[in-house]
Amino acid sequence: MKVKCLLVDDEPLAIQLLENHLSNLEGFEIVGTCNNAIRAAEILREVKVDLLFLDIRMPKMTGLDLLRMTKVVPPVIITTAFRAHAMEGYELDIVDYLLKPITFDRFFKAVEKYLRLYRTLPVDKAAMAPSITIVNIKSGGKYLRLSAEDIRYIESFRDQIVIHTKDGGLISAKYKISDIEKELDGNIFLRIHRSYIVNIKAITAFNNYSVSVDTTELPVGASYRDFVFNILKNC
Amino acid sequence: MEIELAALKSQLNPHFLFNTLNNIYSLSITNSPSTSEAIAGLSAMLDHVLYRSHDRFVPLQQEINFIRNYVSLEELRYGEELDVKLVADDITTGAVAPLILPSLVENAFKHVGVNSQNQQFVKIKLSRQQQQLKFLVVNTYAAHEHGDNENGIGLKNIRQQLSLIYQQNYNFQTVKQEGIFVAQLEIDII
Repeated sequence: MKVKCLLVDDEPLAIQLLENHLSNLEGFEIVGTCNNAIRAAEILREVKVDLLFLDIRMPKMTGLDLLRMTKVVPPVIITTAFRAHAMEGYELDIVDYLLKPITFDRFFKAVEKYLRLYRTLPVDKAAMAPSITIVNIKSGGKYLRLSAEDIRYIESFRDQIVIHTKDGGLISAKYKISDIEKELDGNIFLRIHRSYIVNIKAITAFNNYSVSVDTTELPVGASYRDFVFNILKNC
Repeated sequence: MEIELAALKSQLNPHFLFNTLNNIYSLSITNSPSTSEAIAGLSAMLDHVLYRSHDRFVPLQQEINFIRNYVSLEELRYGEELDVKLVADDITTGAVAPLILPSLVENAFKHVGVNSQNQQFVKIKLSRQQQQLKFLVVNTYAAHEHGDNENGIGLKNIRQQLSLIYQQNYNFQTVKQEGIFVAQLEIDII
């Protein structure tokens, strides 16, 4: 499924530049362009948009105002000539901040970052991954070799983790959850909460607040919500 | 060098500069024939601000060229959304204080917007009657814009410069009503 992009800038050549940059990439399509934030808000209500390219300084309403006033905003890449607004943009939780003139190299980095954050499981990548991934876990003085698909989810208590395996077993090990997260393949496992990492394939149901692994319901942390929802929706 | 940079900053605001570079970059990527013209226009503007505007008075023709280049680059920025007209008498002699006329033009582009009659334009007219120069800048402004604080600062600076250089020998008037802003400046050509 292609990434649906909306381009918002009051300068037509700036839009043309983004169109050109995007045309060099596969997997992106432009579902709309407009020259002001008010129209952008309308389009966002009418059309599904996966990625928003947004200028800041525009007549009537600024891009930052749009982000503040709109409840559901897709991931945003800011494009602007203003050097001063970067911090404000990051507070609004944007993917990246591109300064004009926008070179293709820098643009490509921003788009890659978007893909990394919101599309961790593209089909081709999954196909390329080896069918069995081994996870080495240090436990009780030795390394246990677990197959990734045998892990249903991982739960943490302080510096201790408990691995819930497919056969209903429990393996306990001394790890910080953030350390084990780094060792796991992001295409297979998903951090959903301060205390939980889940095997994406083991998830049988989900909504904004929780995911189910068979009959076990696990909470989704507020700060992970958008990310988790996006990933699960798209794969 | 510092003076040059200060001049550059005050006259070519970075927002204009980087947006214009972005537009030129965009033109270059599509191999547009307008690319070279835009680069030449921007270079001429930089040259004027950095090296040719330090004297108390500069050739009027240079200032007019500067305005022409500025206007074409602004047209590039806003495309067909914005209706721009520049009419200037062909003036080959005479001198004026630097960068005051361009400030008025910049001010117009900064505040231009769609008014309640759904118009959006900037119109500039420069004419000469004997030794007097008449400069008229008209722009629409957005219906919702009423606070003229920012506008006020720009105009205040222009007034200050005028009285510093021309003392009493100038006439500067502005009118803002019904979605249209008019600035008219009359000065003696040196």
